[in-house]
Amino acid sequence: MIQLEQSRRDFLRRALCWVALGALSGCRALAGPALAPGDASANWLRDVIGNLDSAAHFGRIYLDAYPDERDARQLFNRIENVAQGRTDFESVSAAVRDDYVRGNTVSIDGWLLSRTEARLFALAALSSP
Amino acid sequence: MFIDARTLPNRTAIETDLAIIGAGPAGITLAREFAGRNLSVHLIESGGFEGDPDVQALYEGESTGIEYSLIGNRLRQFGGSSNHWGGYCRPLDEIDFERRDWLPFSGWPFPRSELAGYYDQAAERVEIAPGKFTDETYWREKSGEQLLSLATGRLEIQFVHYSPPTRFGQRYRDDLERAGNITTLLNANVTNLAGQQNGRDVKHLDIATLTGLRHTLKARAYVLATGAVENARILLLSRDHNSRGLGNAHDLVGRFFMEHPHVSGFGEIVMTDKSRLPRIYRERVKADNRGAQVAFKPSAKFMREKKLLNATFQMGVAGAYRAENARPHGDPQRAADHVDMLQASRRLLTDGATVLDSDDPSYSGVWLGLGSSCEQAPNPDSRVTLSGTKDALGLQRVRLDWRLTEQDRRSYVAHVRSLAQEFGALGLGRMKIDIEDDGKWPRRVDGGSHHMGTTRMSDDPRSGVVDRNCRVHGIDNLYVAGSSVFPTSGTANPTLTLVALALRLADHLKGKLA
Repeated sequence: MIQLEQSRRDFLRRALCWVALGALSGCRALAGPALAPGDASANWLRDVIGNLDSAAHFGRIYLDAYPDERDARQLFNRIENVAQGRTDFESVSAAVRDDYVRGNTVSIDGWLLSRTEARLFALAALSSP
Repeated sequence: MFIDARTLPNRTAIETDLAIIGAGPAGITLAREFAGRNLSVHLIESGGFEGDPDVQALYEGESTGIEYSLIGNRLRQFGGSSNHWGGYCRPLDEIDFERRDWLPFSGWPFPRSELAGYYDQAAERVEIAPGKFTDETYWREKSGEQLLSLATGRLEIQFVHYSPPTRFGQRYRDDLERAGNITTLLNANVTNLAGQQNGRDVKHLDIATLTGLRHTLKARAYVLATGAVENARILLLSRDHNSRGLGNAHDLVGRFFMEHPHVSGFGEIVMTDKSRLPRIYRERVKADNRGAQVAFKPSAKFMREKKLLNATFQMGVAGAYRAENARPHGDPQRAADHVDMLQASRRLLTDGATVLDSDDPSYSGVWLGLGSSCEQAPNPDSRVTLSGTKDALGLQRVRLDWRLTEQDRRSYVAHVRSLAQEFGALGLGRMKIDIEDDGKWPRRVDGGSHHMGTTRMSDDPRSGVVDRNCRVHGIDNLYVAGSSVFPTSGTANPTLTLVALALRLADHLKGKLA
């Protein structure tokens, strides 16, 4: 079970970095349609947050405010860290709620958001075309 | 018995035991406590049974601070401002009575426990269920819904009770009519509290009618119960022996004017699944023919830790986002923003559920409109003074300079953030905050028609106009009733507390006048 979770995370990390790299470089040939339906990374993000286009909208605002976080691998690692090394919905959701309890929040266009949630949105932004 | 002062012969001299000036909630409550006693009571009211524009115009004045309608926020008629009261009832919190080291001029002369029995009696007078303000078990059973376990430690809940609302004039008119020892004098304006030569007693009241008559009324004890603006005004106008006004040896009368600042448009919450917020949190729920709704307020622990003032938030569903039967936000841009947030965090806001409404796949969620009020720090520069212009009776009008401080603003912003955090921590919703933490109050701040503090209570005459028994310091037979005696305001609507204080004052005066 632990091995399965580990390999799932590694896969997600690689997938997210791949599409993000493509999106950032504008190399659509490399990236293909970023986070296309059926992509593992897209499915994962969709599973933990919701609509990716809407998430990307807020993610872009977050990245404008925190440009040093424009690194998909680093974002993913940070999310994974606060979710106790797990990436399933329950763990990420618990991490998001915990952010609100502890006041680990950011203001994105007036919305008070959990830092982890904002990073998930940023991943959606980095991974969108 | 009711007498129209305009029908009395000019220069009528009346004698009584107790004179109560002002027939609003405090004055009427106080007068009723003496019904059937072996004492004569006169309740003196400027207006009549109905509103009269000429009488109401006596309330006109200048507002030089935060814009404030001196006419719109008060009613000068029998029943007073209870005639436009919304009926919100909640006692002040324990912390509101405490001396807080981060809040200058805070601290009542007694703790809230002093008022406990009077709050129960006051609940009867305003026709609400007593003692259910924090009783979660009662409201859980009555509403049939589980209540939320809050997560951040920053907030807690209370249950605001709704009075019918009690219109004191209509509700208690018959009681006053029947009481053989109580005379209500209508259309009678007190223009001066005439002082004895010794300066320690009120000798008599000067009364004028808008028809030009002049009367006097002499009593053993006098109670001023005309609201926080007018109480200060009458004291400042009574200058027989002190050019600064009666009870104003320390220049405190009229200072420390407080309101409950209401900021509209400070934020909105979106929720994907409104059923996760029990109904009593978002609308009035009836039980035993009484209505109540949850109010969020900061916990005492959080206020102490962060050195903050008090605040209250309430909410209601303002619109739903769906293809059919949509009532979206009036601002299309804001509506799109709401829907974006509902879609972006959809899974987090539903605990992972995928289908919200199988009959309507387009359903996105709701937005909640928010109401708030906050405590303002007692501020000697927020004050009522006399202006240079005069009313129809030849009396100087009031000038109100309502001021707020950075401490008030900082507290309010912190509590707004707490509300956003709580909804996030519970996985219920996301809040868009429209009040900037930029050191400035929003351009529009309203009051709640809650006037407080202008004759504040303190055992020390250098920091209060009245003592713990609501007697004016230095004047043996003059008392004040109403929210003008509040040293701090809390955020509870003041009617319940001022009625409780009037009942307490009645007990004191019964002993004094026996």
